[in-house]
Amino acid sequence: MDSISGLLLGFSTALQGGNILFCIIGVSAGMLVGILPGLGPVTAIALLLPVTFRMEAIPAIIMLAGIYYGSMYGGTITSVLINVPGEAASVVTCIDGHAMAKKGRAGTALGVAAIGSFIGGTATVIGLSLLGPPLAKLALGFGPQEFFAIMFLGMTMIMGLIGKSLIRGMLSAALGLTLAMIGMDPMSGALRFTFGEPNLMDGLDFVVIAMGLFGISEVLLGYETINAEKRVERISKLLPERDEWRPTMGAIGRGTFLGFLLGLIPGANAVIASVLSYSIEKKVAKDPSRFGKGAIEGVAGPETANNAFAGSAMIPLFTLGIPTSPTVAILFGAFIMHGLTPGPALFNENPTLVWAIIASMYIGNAVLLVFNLPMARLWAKIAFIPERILYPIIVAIAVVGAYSTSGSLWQVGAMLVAGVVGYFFKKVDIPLAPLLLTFVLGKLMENTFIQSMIYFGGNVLGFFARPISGTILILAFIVLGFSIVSAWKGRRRSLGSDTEV
Amino acid sequence: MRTLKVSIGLVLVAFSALILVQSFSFHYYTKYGPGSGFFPIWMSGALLVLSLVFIVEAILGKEAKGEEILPRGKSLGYILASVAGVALFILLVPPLGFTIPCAIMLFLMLVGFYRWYVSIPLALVSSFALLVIFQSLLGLSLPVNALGF
Repeated sequence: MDSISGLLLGFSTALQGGNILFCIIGVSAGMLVGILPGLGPVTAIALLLPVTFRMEAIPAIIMLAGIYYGSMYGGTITSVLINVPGEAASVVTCIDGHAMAKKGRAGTALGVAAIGSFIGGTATVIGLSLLGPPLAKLALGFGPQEFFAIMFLGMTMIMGLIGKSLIRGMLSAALGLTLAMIGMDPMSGALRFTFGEPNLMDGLDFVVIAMGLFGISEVLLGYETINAEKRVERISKLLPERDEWRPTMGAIGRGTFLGFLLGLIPGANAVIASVLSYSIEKKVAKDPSRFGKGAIEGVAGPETANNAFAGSAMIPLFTLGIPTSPTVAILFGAFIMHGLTPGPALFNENPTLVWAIIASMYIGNAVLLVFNLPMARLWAKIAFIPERILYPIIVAIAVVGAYSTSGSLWQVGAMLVAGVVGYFFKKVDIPLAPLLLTFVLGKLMENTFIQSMIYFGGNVLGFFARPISGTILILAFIVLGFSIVSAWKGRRRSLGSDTEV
Repeated sequence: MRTLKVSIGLVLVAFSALILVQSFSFHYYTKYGPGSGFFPIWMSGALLVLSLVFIVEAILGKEAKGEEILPRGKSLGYILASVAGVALFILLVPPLGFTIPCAIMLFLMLVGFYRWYVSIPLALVSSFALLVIFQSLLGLSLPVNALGF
C-alpha cells in the first residue's frame, strides 16, 4: 500500500467518533502530564495502560501515542511560567523561556513554542508517512542478526549518552538485562531465577517496573522539595514581533531537521534533541550573548526539536519493531499487550491500525496547536494544582494500575520496591533510562543473539560477515570506544541527564 | 552519600552473585548453540564486575559535604508516609477489600498537609471515587471484599 492510499485509509479510521475522542483524550492527558512536574510520559502511559485492557487496539494505541507527543507540548508551559520543567525535554526551555517571561513576554515564548512544536511534530509525521512503507519493506529482509545489531547499538548509545558516568550507565543497562532474564526462557522453556515464586513465571511486569522506577520514585523525590514556592508569570501577547519571525522560523527549521534525524537513532532521546538544538542556535546566532536573557530562538529551536523527535522516534518502532527510548519502549509494550507485534510486518498485516495511528498524529498535532495557542492561559492554570493533592492521586492510580496488570497484590509490592530502588538510584546518579530500555528489550536481544549464533554455527564473527549487521556493530563499538575514551579523559559532558522521554 | 553508594553496590553485588551462581545450573552451550545459561552468565557476570567498580569508584571518589541520603523533618515524614501507605494497602486488602485500605493509604499521605477532619473525608471520598471509576466505568476488577467495596 502506498503512502497516499494508506493515509486515506488511516484518516477514515482515525476520524471515526470513538477514535477521534480517544485521540483528544490522549493529547489532553499528554498536555496534563507535560504541565505537571513529577509526572512524565513514561509514568503516564504506564498508568493509563491498564485502563486500555478492555479497549480495542486502535483507540488504545491512538490514545497512548497522543500522551507521548502531547507531553512534549505541555512541558513548555511550566518551564516558561514557573521555571520548572514539566518534563525533561523542556529543561533547556527554562533558560530563555523563563527569561522571556520575566520580561513580560511569556505569551510570546509559549506562542513560538506551540508553532514550532506543531511544525516539528507535523513534519516528522509526514516523514513517517513517506519513509515508513519503504523502510518497513527494507526491514522485512532483516534477520535476527540485524535486529540484534540494532538493539546493541541502541544500548551502547544510551549508555554512552545518558547520565553522568559511563560506569553507572553500563551498570544500569546490565541490571536491566539481568532482570529481563527472570521468568520462562522462550527458547528452551526453562524457568529461570523465579525462586519458586509463581508470580515470577512470566517475568517481572514492565508496566509495574516502569511505574515504580519513574512514577513512584519521582513522587518520593518530589516530597523533598514540596514546600518550595511557585511564582507564576503572566501570559500576554502570543505572537512574536515582526522582526523576530525570520530568526524564529530559522530555528524551527533547524530544530525540525535535528529532531527528525535524532529520532531515527537508537538510544537517543528528546532531551538530547532539545539540548543539541539549543547549542546549535547559540552557535549560529549573530549575537550569542542574548542567550540566557530571553532569546526567542532559544525557545523555538529546542521546543521544535523535541516534538520532531517524538514523531520521528515512531519510525524505528513501526518499521523495525524496536523502541529507541524509554517512552517508546512503553508504547512497544502497549502493542504487545494488545496482541500486536510492532515491526515491518505490521504495515502489511495490519495496515488499518498503522495508518490510523499515523493519521491520528496529524489530528493530534492540530488539536495541540489549538490547545497551545488560543487556550494556553487555560492550561497554565493546571500548573497551580498543588503537589500535596497530586501525589496521593498518582500513587493511588499507580497502585490500582499495578494490581490490575495481573490481579495480584504481588505486583503492587513489586512496584513499591521498584519505586524505592529508583529513588535511591536517582540519588546516586545511576540513570534509569538504560535499565528500562534493556529490560524491555532483554529477552528479544537474547533470542536474536541465540538465533544468530545457531545460524552462524557458533561463530560470533559471523555478525561481521553480513554487511548490515557488521556495519551497525562496528558503529556500536566506535560509540562505545568514544564513550570509554571521553570517560577516561574526564571530558564526559552529560547531554541528556537521566530522563524518561 | 558514599555510604549509600557502597550499600547500593553491595546489594547489586549480592544480587548478581546469586543470579550468577544459579545460572551455572542451566546449559551454557548446547549442540545447537548457546543455551539458557549463556546470556544470564554473561549479563550477571558483567553486572557483578560493574557493581564492584561502582563500589571502588565510590570509595576513592571525592565526597561532597553536606549531602544527606534522606531529607530531614517533614519531608522525610511525607516520604515514609507514602511508602508505609502502600505497604499497609498490600497488607490490609486481603481482609478488608479495596476501599478502606486505599482510604488509609490516602489518609497517611494527606494528613501531613491537612487537618485530620479534612483528610479523613477527603481520603474516603477519593478512594470510593477510584473504585467507581476503575471498576464500574473502566471495567477493571479491583480486590473488593464480600460486600462489594
